[in-house]
Amino acid sequence: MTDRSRGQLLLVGAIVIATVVLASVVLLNTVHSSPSISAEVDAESLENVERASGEIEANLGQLFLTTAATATADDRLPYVNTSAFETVVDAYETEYNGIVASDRAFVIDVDYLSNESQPGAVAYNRSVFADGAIDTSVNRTVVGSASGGSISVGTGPLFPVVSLTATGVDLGPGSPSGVSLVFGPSQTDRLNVTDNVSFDDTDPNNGFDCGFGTIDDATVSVEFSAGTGTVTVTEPRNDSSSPHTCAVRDVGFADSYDEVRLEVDRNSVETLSYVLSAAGGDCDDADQATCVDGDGIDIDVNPSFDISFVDPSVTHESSFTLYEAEDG
Amino acid sequence: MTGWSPFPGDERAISVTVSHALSIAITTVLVSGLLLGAGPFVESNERRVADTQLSEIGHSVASQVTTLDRLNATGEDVRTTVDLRYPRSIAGSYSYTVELTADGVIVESPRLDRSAAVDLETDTTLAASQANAPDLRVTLCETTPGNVVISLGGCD
Repeated sequence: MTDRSRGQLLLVGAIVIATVVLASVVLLNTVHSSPSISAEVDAESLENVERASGEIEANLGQLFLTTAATATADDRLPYVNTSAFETVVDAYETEYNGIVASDRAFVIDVDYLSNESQPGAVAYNRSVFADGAIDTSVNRTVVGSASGGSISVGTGPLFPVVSLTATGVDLGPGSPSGVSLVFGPSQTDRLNVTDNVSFDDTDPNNGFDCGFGTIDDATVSVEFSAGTGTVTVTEPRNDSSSPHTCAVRDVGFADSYDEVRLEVDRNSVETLSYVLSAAGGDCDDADQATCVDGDGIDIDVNPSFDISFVDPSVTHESSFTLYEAEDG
Repeated sequence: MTGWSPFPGDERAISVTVSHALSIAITTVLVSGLLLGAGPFVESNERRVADTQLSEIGHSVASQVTTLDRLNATGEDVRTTVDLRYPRSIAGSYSYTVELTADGVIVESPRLDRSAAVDLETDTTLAASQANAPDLRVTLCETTPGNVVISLGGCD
């Protein structure tokens, strides 16, 4: 009798323990679920759009510059032949889709909007003033107006690219000579590489003055896209020194213009190279420099594009202009 | 009848029935205590899990909204639609809604009476709108000329 009672007690105990465990499982089941929420969608889709958008815009910028690269120099001139560029952009779209198809599930469509792009002219040149190989027409008009009147192109930048590099420049007080690019219908806007690197304008909001101090025999590089960019000064005789850099944004080179002039003091500059693209401009002036315009071919100096992006959960469309002045 | 006993002179005894009754009574008390104690525990854990899940959903939607805000700065005439799919319910079986306000994202479960808010500062206007889980559509589009907004539910 005693042995039977002990067996029943063990059985009842086991049943109770099993009941407790089962009850716990049932009760706590909901709170055992992980608090982490997995968004049941490819969370990378929108990131892919953002990444692809940046890639495509950068690639189109490179395409724009390399399409017109001259065979004789490494110049990457900022203009394109419109018909040729349409072909290049179509080829790029095909290549890009082919590349991303292997690891990303989306398709892009890129269209070059030639009718919304800015036509114009690109003036460029390289001059050496120290060893006798001198361009004789130093002070001259580099870009003019086809109509002879003042050019204004609405909301887009008048000068998508302003690039100038001068060597052998003495910066600092007492060095008033050097190189200047003169903009505007009344020649009031001046980009100076003289005693300092500055931009003089009647509107003080458009000007800048990079105070580099006294640096002899400096190499000055000015690179602006749609009014935003950098001025860099290096000291050739001091290899250990870092370049001096001045970042500038929203420079209004001119609201309108009838010509752009280059003024150089040959005694205070050793070499000079420049590239200047001007929307709506041409090279028809009598003393023109090396220049490309729309005479005989359709060229654009500031292209616009439409970009579409489609994947299973994201659709994205946008248009962008390569050189676009920032708002404000 | 009196045989040998290890406790001679001790006449106390206990019946099998009483022994089982005591066992069952004690067990009942223990199980009842467990169940009563587990109730508040389950409830508090449910709220904790719900808060965490609401917050995660809110931050996920906010992340998509800020990405759309950045995309709006990459060009002109930007139109973007992203379809998101989240769990149908949180903390087991509680439905929830996602609301976009001018200040950010609010995810709310009315039955649980819990919500999570994520504040946002964007250059693009956030249009007041609301959507129910599990399918959310977040859009960036121009509603009127020059007025680009981010909203839930799609562009007209």
